[in-house]
Amino acid sequence: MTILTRRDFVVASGAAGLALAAAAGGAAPRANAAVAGAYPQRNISFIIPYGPGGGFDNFARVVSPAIERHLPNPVNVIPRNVAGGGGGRGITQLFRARPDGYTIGILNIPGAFFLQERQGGRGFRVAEFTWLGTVSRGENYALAVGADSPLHSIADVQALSRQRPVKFTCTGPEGTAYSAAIISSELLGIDVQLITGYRSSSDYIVAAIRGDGDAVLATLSTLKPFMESGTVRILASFESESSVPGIPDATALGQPELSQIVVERMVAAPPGVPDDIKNILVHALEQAVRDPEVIAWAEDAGIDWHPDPPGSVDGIIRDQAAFFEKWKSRISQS
Amino acid sequence: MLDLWLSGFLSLFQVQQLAFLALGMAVGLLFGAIPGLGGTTALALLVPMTYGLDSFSALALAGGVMGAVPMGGMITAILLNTPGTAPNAATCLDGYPLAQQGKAGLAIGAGASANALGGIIGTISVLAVLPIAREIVLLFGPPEFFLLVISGLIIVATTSQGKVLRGLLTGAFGLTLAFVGYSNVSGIERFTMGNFYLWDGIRLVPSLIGLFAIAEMINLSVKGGSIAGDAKNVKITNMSQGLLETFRHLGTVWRGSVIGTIVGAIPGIGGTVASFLSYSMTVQASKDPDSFGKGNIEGVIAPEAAINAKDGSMLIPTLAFGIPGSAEMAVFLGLLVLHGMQPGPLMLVEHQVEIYSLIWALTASCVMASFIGLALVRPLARVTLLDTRILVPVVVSIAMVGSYSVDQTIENVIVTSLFGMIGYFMIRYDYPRLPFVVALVLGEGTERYFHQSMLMSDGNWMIFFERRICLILIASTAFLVFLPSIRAVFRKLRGTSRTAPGGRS
Repeated sequence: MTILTRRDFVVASGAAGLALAAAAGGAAPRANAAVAGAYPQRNISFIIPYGPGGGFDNFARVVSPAIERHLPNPVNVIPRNVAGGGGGRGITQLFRARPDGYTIGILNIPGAFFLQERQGGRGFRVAEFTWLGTVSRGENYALAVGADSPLHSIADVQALSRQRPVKFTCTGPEGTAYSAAIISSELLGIDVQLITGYRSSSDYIVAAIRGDGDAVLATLSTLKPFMESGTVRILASFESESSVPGIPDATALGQPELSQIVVERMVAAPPGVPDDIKNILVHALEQAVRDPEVIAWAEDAGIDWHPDPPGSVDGIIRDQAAFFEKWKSRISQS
Repeated sequence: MLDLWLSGFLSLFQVQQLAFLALGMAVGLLFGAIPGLGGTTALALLVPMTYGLDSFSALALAGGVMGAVPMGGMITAILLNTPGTAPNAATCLDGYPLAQQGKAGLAIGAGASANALGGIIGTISVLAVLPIAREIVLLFGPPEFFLLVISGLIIVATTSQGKVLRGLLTGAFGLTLAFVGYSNVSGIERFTMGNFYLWDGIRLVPSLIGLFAIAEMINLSVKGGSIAGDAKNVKITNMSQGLLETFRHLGTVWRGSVIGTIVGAIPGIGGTVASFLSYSMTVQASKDPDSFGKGNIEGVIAPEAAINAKDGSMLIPTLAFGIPGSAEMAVFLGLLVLHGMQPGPLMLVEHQVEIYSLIWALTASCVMASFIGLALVRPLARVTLLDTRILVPVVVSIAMVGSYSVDQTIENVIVTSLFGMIGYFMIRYDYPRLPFVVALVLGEGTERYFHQSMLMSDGNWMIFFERRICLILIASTAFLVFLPSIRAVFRKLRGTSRTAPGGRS
């Protein structure tokens, strides 16, 4: 057993220091484009509260260069993944960031509400964010079954529910599909049992195709490829006017409230951002989501891209908050 | 079919595509070698760069990265007992002892060729299976996954020969830790203590880095000297010897590749289980199980073949249904969407040429990375001759930074440090780390698949006996578990005069 001398410590520290410097060198901050004048003066961080590769990640990354083009000064908008806590960590980081306009983030509404409920509001309060806009119009849900399923209409599902609870596959109680299932089944008079634990929407849709459960609720954009390949059958769309021919919508089912079950991708800044900075960001975002390059990407990817009308963000968040309050207790009961 | 393969191959042979393939391969090798980085981080960093490229170049880049990462990870696993990526931890078990005996060159050579062969076998399997990919994904549901996971745990537990009780202990410890975090089946947080980090549970990569790399560095500091011990008995064995070893154990390569291909296709189980399962089953099938963990070359060949075979099959659920089998696949999915290729049932129909081009890129990168590894055997093996006093601080720093870089949380470093200490005591007191790792990986899935099966069947246990595939799985697991006992009985019946020399590998 060698005894370490003082000299060894010096050598060791030197080697460690060199290694640390080399290894951490990649994390050096980027060069800023500082310009004399008002905001923005340096790069803006765009927080994505999830890991790379998800839907929110893609949207944020495509929209960031477009936002850059519509800011008064040439700075970078840098997407940053801050995963953890099911999104809680990133959202908390956004909430606590300095309200100087150099940190913005993308949030899942109503997902953020559920997270706040579940995590006891320990990091953030959704209502207090500075809302900047939406990335694209909120997505409605639809009810679907596997192509091999004996169910062909909502009436069939309701009939089945009189015999036994209908099984829906979904993610977990923190997810939007879970609450969508509870709310819609109550509105449609279906007795529902949820098979939770699936990792993603593709996962639980395939589960329904496989027959783990009877039916599934997912956003229309997620269901469309499956429908087009003939592996699922959409029984109803919860839009107020169905975009899928031959399928009943919320109005036809006599439950207009179904159209309020949406997933919104909203961009926010920390609470207390000054109005002049906020207006610059709001304007840049509005222009960005109408940017021709962004629209071209959406078309290529087969995404239904409909920017919300300017100035509608406050109304949207108000409606969503009210909807959540109304259904909050029913969801947490389950 | 053949013309599609050809189109995919030819589309790769453009200057731009080949350049991106080479770039991806270089990045993959580097990121694979540095612990904590890996395919996921490499892809995540490169994806924004591909914005604006055509899809073939982007896929060549991605294929280059994914094919080369395992080779990079293998190098640090063997030389420094530091798994470059999580699946390479199985390579540490016999690769590092080989390095300690001065046979680092042999290990790297054999591992590199196992890499290449495993990758090729994996590709052939994927190409064969791709047309029926959808049917296969639909055959496996929660009950089947549950049985697969349980089999994995059982097989690994029963191959801790001589140390079964200790293996069970560490396995139980791994299972306990696996349950920390938020459970999305029940919506309940366990032992998270209100902490955002623990919401996601104990991360695999930081704990592996601690358990293998840091623990070994502590061990080295206590021992002193260099990894390969006395410099006099170090033989920097050359390339051809390593290659030859693999061809002498083709059965092991085959077994590893098959396991890798099958396990890789199951989403969520992933590469770590593939490599450890391949290792365990090789130990079990061997005539000399006690030599494992002390430098048996098969202990390097088996996991490395599995790791590379799984790279191809991981694409199956990802491409067929958009269900990523691992974090790396999730990032890859993002890349596909960025380039207008929606993974899902339509992908296999509309983008066939791109898919085949990707598979070719993967294979080419895997094979080329192996060649590069083989070419660099000599200089790489010299690392084992470095003095501990220089090596340890460098490795510890890189390991800690690597652990942090997984998702930029400082808690990862705390986890790594804690597991470093735990790992050191496991080395000192001879407690096997393998069952711990497998339990940590599989624990969460075990519970989730069980609950989902119960929700599907309304609490009826018979669901595991009513489905065809489940019965096949139960029968195969029972067979595998009792195989050693059956063989022992047969050997006794035949008498000692009938034991054949050499035998199957």
